[in-house]
Amino acid sequence: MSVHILIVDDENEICEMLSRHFRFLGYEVDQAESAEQALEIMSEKRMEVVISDIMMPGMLGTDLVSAIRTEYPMTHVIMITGYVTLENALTCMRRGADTCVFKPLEDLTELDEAVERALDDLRRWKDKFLELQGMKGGKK
Amino acid sequence: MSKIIDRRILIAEDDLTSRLILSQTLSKANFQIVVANDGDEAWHIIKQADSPRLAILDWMMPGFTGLEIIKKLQYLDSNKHVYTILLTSKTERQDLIRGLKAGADDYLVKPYDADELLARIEVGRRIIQLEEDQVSFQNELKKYATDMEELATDRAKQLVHADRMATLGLLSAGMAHEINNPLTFISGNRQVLSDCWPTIKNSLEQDLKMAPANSAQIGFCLEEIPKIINGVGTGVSRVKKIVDGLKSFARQNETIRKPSSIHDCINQALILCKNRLKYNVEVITDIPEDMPDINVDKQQIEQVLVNLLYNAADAIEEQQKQGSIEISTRLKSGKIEIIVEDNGGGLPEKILAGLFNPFFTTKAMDKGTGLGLSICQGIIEEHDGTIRAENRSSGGARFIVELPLFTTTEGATK
Repeated sequence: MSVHILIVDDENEICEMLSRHFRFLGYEVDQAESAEQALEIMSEKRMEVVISDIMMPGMLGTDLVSAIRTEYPMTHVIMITGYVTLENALTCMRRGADTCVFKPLEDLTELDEAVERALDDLRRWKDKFLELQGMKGGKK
Repeated sequence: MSKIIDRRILIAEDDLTSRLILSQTLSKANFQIVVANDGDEAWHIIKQADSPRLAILDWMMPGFTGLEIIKKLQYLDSNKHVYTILLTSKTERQDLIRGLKAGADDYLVKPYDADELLARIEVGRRIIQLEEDQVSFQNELKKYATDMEELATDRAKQLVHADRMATLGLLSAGMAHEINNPLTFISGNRQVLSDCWPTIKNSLEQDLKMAPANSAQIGFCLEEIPKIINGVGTGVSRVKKIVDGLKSFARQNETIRKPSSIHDCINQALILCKNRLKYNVEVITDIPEDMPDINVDKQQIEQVLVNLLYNAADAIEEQQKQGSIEISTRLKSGKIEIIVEDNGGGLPEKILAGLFNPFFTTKAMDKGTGLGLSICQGIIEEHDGTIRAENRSSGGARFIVELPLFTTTEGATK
């Protein structure tokens, strides 16, 4: 299956960089400069994983997690933040983000692993749904 | 305290008989007599710093007359007042007024009664004593005023500094955040580039086979690009450490005590000081791994250690030599001792007492504010600990910080 990732960060260079990184790894990547724009894109396009900044003008990343959890329960959210506080991290966890990765992302491996875990989880669900529909589970 | 005035009296009288009678009368009353035979001698004695405070001057005598001496006394550049009794045989009312106007404190007309003389001397002594009291009171006031002024200046400076530190804290937090974003995409892009490199390398190697004419440039790329990628990575790690330092500086205003390992505090302080210590200082640590925790605000203890390390490095640098700093910890009756010592120039005996006072510094204007150690002391005392300094017998300074160990009861109450 083709995997869609949405990158949300008001810093365009970070969007570009992460997009480049995940496109190189073979994912389809979209970018949004705000949480509002992210929700707009998601209303038209299914996303497996959203990687979002917390501190952004307008809607905060933590509010985006809540919105996604309600509207798109299957989409996994990974937060990235340069504003590392215990409060931020706890809010992310309470609102159902997969994890919170701290900038400056000296090593992208942590982010890659979070995406991998999210996709594993999605595959397991998918297998279960197929099984329940009486079809043969596509083992990928 | 006011000074008790002595019992010396100067007698300036040219007439031998009068002088003897006067001397005897006063000696009997337990006064010590300083005798001048004429006006010039009297003036010579009065001018001296330790002259008697009370003088009986004959009006008419060779050299300066009593009246002249009294006039000259007004212009004597001394804050000491000599109480003068003018001795005169003149009885004209006008003469007495002239004497008093010239500055005489009192007068006595010959022939005088001995009791009256002694009574007038007592009056003089009372006035001298009052003057003395007033002078010492004024001096005390002056001293209080100076002390208060100093205190006010210190307080004002401390406030300005605290304000500056708070601003600096906010500024550092802002800076850390601002640097973090560009650092993220520099670091991320470096990794993307690094991931792409094998592909680029492969095709470059193909190109090299196909077009050997460009071999120099292709060879250069194959050689240098991995180094460039590594170089950017090293830069990113270094900037990240600075950002971490700025963040912990910004956080230090909130005091949050937690059971912490002294080992971690020392290591973090050493990282923060790495740049300062790397050229001329060797750091030797002796920290047992199994030290129990202390209940401290880690950032603040780090700040104290950084301060001590910087001071030690400055002391070594002043000696213009390679030096070493030793950091060790040990347990001592329910407390942990952290010892930072250097082999710099040590602490001169006269500065040891004021070392922890605010604004105390031996460093050049642009180097130290003189606040470092007073802040350190503040932090350590806030943690119920002590900090002290001494000289090592082998040369150099030693700072000893004592902090109480973390206990579970303490943990429950804090």
